[in-house]
Amino acid sequence: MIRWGIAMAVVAACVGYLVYSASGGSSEYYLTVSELRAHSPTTGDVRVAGVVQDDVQRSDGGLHLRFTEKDGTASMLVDYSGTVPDIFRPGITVVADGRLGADGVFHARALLAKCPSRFSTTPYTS
Amino acid sequence: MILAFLGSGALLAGLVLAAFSALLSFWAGYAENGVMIQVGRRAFYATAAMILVAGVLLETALLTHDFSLAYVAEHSDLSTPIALVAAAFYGGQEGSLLYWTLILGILGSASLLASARIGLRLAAYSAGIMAAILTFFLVVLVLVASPFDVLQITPPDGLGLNPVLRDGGMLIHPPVVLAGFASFAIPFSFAAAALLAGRSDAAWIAHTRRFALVAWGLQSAGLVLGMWWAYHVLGWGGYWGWDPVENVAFMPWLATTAYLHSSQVQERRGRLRGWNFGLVMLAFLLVVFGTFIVRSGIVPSVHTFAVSAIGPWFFGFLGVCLLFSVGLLAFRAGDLKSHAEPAPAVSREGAFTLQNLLLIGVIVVVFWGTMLPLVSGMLGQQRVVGPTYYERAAGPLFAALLALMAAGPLVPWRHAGAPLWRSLRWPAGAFAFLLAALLVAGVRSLPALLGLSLALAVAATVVYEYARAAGRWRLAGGGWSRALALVMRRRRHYGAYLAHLGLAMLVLGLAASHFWQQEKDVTLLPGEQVAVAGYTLTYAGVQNRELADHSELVAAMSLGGQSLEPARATYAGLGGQSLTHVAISSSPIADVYVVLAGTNGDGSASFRIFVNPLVSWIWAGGAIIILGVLLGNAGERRVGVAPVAARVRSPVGAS
Amino acid sequence: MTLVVATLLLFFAGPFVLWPLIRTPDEGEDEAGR
Repeated sequence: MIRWGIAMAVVAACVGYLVYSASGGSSEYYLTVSELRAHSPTTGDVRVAGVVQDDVQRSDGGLHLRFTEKDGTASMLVDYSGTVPDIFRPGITVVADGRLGADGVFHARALLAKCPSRFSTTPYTS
Repeated sequence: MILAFLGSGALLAGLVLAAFSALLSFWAGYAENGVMIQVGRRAFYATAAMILVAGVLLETALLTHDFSLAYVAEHSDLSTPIALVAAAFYGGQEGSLLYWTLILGILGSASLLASARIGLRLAAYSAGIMAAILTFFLVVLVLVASPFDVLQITPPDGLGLNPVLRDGGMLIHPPVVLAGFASFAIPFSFAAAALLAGRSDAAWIAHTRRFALVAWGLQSAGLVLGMWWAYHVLGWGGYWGWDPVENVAFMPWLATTAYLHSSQVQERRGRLRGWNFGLVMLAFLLVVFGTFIVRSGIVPSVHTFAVSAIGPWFFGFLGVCLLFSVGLLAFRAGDLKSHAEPAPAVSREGAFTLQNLLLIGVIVVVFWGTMLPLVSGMLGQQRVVGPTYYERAAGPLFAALLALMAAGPLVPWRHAGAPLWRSLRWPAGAFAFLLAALLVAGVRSLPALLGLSLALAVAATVVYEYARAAGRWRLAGGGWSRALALVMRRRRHYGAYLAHLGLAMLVLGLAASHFWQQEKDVTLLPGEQVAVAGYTLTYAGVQNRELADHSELVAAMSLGGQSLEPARATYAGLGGQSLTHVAISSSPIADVYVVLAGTNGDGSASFRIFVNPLVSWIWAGGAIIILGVLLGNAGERRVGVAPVAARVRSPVGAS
Repeated sequence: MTLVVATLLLFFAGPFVLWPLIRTPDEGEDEAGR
């Protein structure tokens, strides 16, 4: 029985170590635009959530995107090259993953847009 | 309008019957009153019938475009293809809850009908618990999230299904994964019933295991179908993002995987009982937990869920189930201890125990990653983790599990001696072979080296086991009838190994497509070519196509002799936004995956091209897993143990 | 309206659910009515 206790402790320690070291290295802050503006962390990538505004510019045949993300009063210009989620358009909430450049533009390496709401219980409005 | 009243009436009747069944079954089981137990059980069947009626009514309302129902108006319209209108049944909050409840009612009834051998009190308590769970869902359906709510004014047309969801995958993936979630309640109920009744025996083990296998099979299919759908529809070239919705589908699967193996130790030696009860209950608790967090919107996810009214209800239900489960386990802790001697560490039992520990470890990793945003948000600045975390934290655990899968089937139940080391040559040899080949080919990534080589070792063990069986068959004289008899006798065994083989294939596909995916962005004028990873694509031009509910911009490309048509679809209601229709050329070696990003003013078109090696092995592996489960377990299994004498038999036979 | 439908359905379900009581000779048990 003691043997299994030791085995369990060993596995638990390994798991604990793995979780700790992996999350330390690869977790990111999840911010709103206002929070990013208020105190921008300088190290590492962050994720910033906001609402896409009307000034979306696409170039490069759709491979490059430039748009403004806004939340409340704070807004931020986002520059992104990559797969654009189909649901992306002005008015939706999007999460940009990347970092704020010295030029004040947020350089995103990934864009996450929320899938269409399947589980909303908001009443039918047209 | 009529349908709405009939439907809500059916749900209300179902609620009353479910509550009645729950109360009566518990009381009658306690009093060991055979007649009342039967009444309670029949009330359960009647509940299932009511839910079925409600389901049929909702589907009828959808198919007849009855827009007086809010649900029908919100999730379909006159222009949606009829198959997707039918699929809207489970496409929205209320409908998917009804679907879940329906599966619970049907599977629950099936489990009760099949429970003739397990003893009256056990069956009664199980019915009571399942009825109680049904009662909760029906309360939510009747009071909080009814699919039969009626609109003040009937609109002439509905809102329709969001275009991103208008795909064949919508027809298959949600019903399978929802059914999987619902089905974990069955083994939970039987486990909790056994703890309540203070008894369990071989017949109960077989019965519980059977329904855990059903749940596991459904969830496996649901997970693979979800990956397949994401890959074919979303256009980012991948299939798994460690999103909370994916994670909560994964965790119960992990717990049940552990249980399916660990329960064999209980069958054979009566040990690991605590583990088994714990794992089965954990699977269900993870399901309730998962439902709570994805439908309440408290964790950021790409699958958005509005902060809905049902969140608090599921939170409360989770609390109740958690207290109930922990309380039961604590109450019976003493009885769960086994009197048998633990087997030596290097034994099948040891391997299964280690497997339990490792899989719990993976669950902890995934759980933590999923909950970190919530926990960190409460304590300070919200943080999230991405795929890197999961790979780094769970990767080593997965590697250890693969190694266990390669060695485990060869390890004997009792003392492991020389024969073990002889048979381990085969997986070890396969491992070394692929490892060397990869190193020679220049691969230096440790996860890739280990993942692929270990997966091959797993496959080698399965082939070795089959080869040994074939050897025995030939020694015994060969012949088809003998082959069939040999397979049928150890059907569960061979089916499980086939599932292992399927998993090995799946892992090979995952590893290859993950580590060696190649990607290229390119803009081409008509007639130009591009080469990616040895594949040459030629772009011919674009054309516009008009279809029933959308228009398409289709790019014509050719790959060798094959034509690929990546497209962008524009739906009227999307304000000019277009959707990706990915074009994929599949072969056993790799997929060439082409996304049309858009066109430019000068007549050129921009593409994003992926080459994904061995992706089709993922789907093939998944199909083989399901095949293994079905072949190994379809049909009646005779339980070899005589029924325990102290069972109360109902006077007119169990119904 | 919903209540009416529900009550009707319960009346239909009643005999099916209570069949074991109706069929078995009474053992002094109460008919666990709806």
